[in-house]
Formats: sequence, structure tokens, C-alpha cells
Amino acid sequence: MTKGIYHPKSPYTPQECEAILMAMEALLDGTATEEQRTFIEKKLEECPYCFEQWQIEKTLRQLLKDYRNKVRVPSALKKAILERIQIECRKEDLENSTKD
Amino acid sequence: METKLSELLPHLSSLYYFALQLTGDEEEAKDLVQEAYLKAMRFIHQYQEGTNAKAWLFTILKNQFINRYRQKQRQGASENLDQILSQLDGRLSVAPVVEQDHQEVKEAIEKALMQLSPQARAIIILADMEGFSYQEIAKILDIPIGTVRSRLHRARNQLRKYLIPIATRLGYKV
Repeated sequence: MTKGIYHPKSPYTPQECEAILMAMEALLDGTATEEQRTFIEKKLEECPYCFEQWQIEKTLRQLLKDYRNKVRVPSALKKAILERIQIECRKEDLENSTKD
Repeated sequence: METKLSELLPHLSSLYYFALQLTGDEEEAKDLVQEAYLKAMRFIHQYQEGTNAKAWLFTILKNQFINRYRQKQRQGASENLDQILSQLDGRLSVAPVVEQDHQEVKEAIEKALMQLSPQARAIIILADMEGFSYQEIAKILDIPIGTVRSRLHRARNQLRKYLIPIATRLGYKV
């Protein structure tokens, strides 16, 4: 049993817990089958530890998303990109005009 | 042209963060992102408005990175991103500047990510931070979809070990 993931009082075996966790991931990833969806819905009603794990899964994802959303891009980067694109466009215009 | 550029620019921080993870160097990451945007604008006629601009940009960034890597290694070997990641030094990860009000959360996440291999870290970033589908991740990393699923599960198991205590303690509710 992996420490910290599965509750020691859980009525399920580690293998069952693993399968439940994988189905939860599929559901949160939007890849769950109809079967997996009903399976999880049932577990969330019957097993308080599954319910707790479900909350934790959502929290972890939110923590990671929040972290990434707060990454600051160096201020000069956007400016440099826009400048280089402008230079490229001008070059292209020039090439096109000489072609004509 | 203007509308198309305005569709691409909102993904700048996603690209920058991923580039930072690939290169492990701020200057190199900036160069890589610049090149990717420049290339995207050069091929903008191939881009269909409304399609997934972010996935397209990530693919361009990936290809630029692979090219750079090959040049550095001076090998003509046809490595894909997954193979290159497996050769990277795990300690390469660079923590970006993050406006995080909760220093404890920031440190816990960075520490947890550092424990992952570059391959595991990449898959967590693509799936859980950027929200790409398995199919999109498979394309970016050049691995089968089944491998995406199993690796993601393993990487998340590792992350859980490090992050569940802080998530539970802080009572971070969604």
C-alpha cells in the first residue's frame, strides 16, 4: 500500500484502490467511459475515503494550475517577440514588392 | 495577421514555462520561445483560426528544441522529445518567477516537481498545468496514448506523496 494515498481504514484492497484512483483520473481528464463514470459515482456515495480522495485529486490539480498561472514572463520577452515579428513582416513586404 | 497574432500571444506564459523546463536556462528559454513565435508567424497561413493554437505552438516549440539539441550534440540521430527528456539531467529544472501569495505552496510544488524525472515532469506540466488531452500530449512527446495514461498515473502518484500533506493541511478547497 502506498503511504499517503490510500486511507488505512479503506474497505478496499490496494489493487482496488489503484483501479478507483485510475478511474478518478480518467473522469477528471475527460477520458472516462460511461462504465467508469458510474463506477466512481457509486464509490463516492459508498466510501468516505474515496470521497476524500476525490476532493484531494481536485485540489492537487487546482494547486498545479494556480501555480502555473502565476508564472511571470520576463517583461522584455513579449516586446522582443513583437519587434522581431515586425522586422520579419517588413522584410517580407520588401521581398514581395521587389518580386512585383 | 493581427487577429492571428492576438490568438497566439495569450499562450506566451505556457510556452515560456515549458521552454524553461526543457532548457533549464532562462536565456535559452527566451530564445526558444522567440524562435517559436517567429516560426509560427512565418507559417501562420497554415494555421486555421479557431483550431487549437496552443497545441500548435507547443509542437513548433518542441521541434525547435529538438533541432537545437541535435545541433548541440552534433548527432544526426532522429531523437524525439521523449528520448531527449530521458537523457536530460533531472536537476535541470529552473524555478520561474512566480507571483505566489503562498510561499509555502510555491516551495512545496517546486520541491515536488524537482523530485520527478524530466519525463514525468513534462507530462505533469502538459496534462495538469496546461490541460492538454492525452492525444495532444502523445503528439508532443511522441509516445503512444497508452503510455501517456500509465506514465501520467505514475507521475501523479509521485506528486501525491509530496503534495497531499500540504493540500490537506492548508485545507485548500476547490
